[in-house]
Amino acid sequence: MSATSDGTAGGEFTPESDMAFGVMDWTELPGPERHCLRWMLRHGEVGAVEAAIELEMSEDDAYAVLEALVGRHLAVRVEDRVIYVGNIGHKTARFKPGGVWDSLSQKLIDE
Amino acid sequence: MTQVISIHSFRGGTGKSNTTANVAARLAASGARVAVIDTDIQSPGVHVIFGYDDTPEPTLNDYLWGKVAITDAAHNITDRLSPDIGVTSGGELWLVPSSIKPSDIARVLREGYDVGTLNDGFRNLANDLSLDYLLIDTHPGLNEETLLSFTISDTVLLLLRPDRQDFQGTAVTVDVARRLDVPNLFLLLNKIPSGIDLDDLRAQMNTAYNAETVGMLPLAEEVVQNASGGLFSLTSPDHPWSQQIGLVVERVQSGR
Repeated sequence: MSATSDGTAGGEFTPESDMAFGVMDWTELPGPERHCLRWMLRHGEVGAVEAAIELEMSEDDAYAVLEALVGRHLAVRVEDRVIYVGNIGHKTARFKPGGVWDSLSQKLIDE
Repeated sequence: MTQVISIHSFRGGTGKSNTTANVAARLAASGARVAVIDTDIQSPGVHVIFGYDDTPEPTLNDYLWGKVAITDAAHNITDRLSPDIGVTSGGELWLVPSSIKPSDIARVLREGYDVGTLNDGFRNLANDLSLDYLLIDTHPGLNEETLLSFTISDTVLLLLRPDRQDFQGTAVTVDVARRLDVPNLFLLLNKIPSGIDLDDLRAQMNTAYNAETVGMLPLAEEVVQNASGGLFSLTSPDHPWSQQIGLVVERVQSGR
């Protein structure tokens, strides 16, 4: 995977990794997986039959694509279905400036 | 199927929110079900063009913090379209504003938010309101939430001014949008001074970016004087600026 847009170092995305999957990592996915993930983001829960139609491939091949996304932890399987899980980059705070924003926001809330 | 349209620019001040509001209003006036979502959480502003001094509550911030459903933060603002124009039957317009409260903006900057939750919000909004169009007003530049909106969009409308910094930044954005497989990538040039050869400029744009230029908005004194004080293309439909907005709307509609 490439470096993420928030500056996280690149490397293979694994379940043990604490790296979030950044949207720019998207470009590193194989074409069918990229297509499928995009489609899942738009539609939510999907299965192999629907994926086969969307991806214009056999059900077995579509299942393999979905399983590949599960392997990358970009999707989860629920019983015999695969659903999208929102695992594409938890956004961390933009600034970590030693409490400046903490102080400011508390001040604003107090006011 | 909802058409998702991200309106974006590499730099600020290109007229993104003004364009978003006017395109959305024209689409709704033509009979479509349309929602505008202000994802420029750090510097929200599209609500002003719809006539709000303060953002109506609840806001997108409340949704992202788990306080409300996304549809609760969607305010029906169809009655804010110009009373001088008729809205074709079925036309509806919603706004999901971002909070203008300093404390809310500070909280977002401090804590961030879950980009996946934002995507769920896009999807639920489109489904629950049976939208024809969802327009996403983005934060300028390239960041995670903007890139997400690109990935789930059918169309990305990139605004730029005839300015070297804008040209260079737009080239970067076009490259990223292509890598993210955006189906329709449209360019919209804004604030064009008088005296420029528009045909030549359009040809240069198409060559440089290999993307369709769907409108060329003039730098118009009347638009500047309007100062985000309303939906200019509805109140002044015969103005050249408004006519160009009309071309953008026609192009978006033809893409459905």
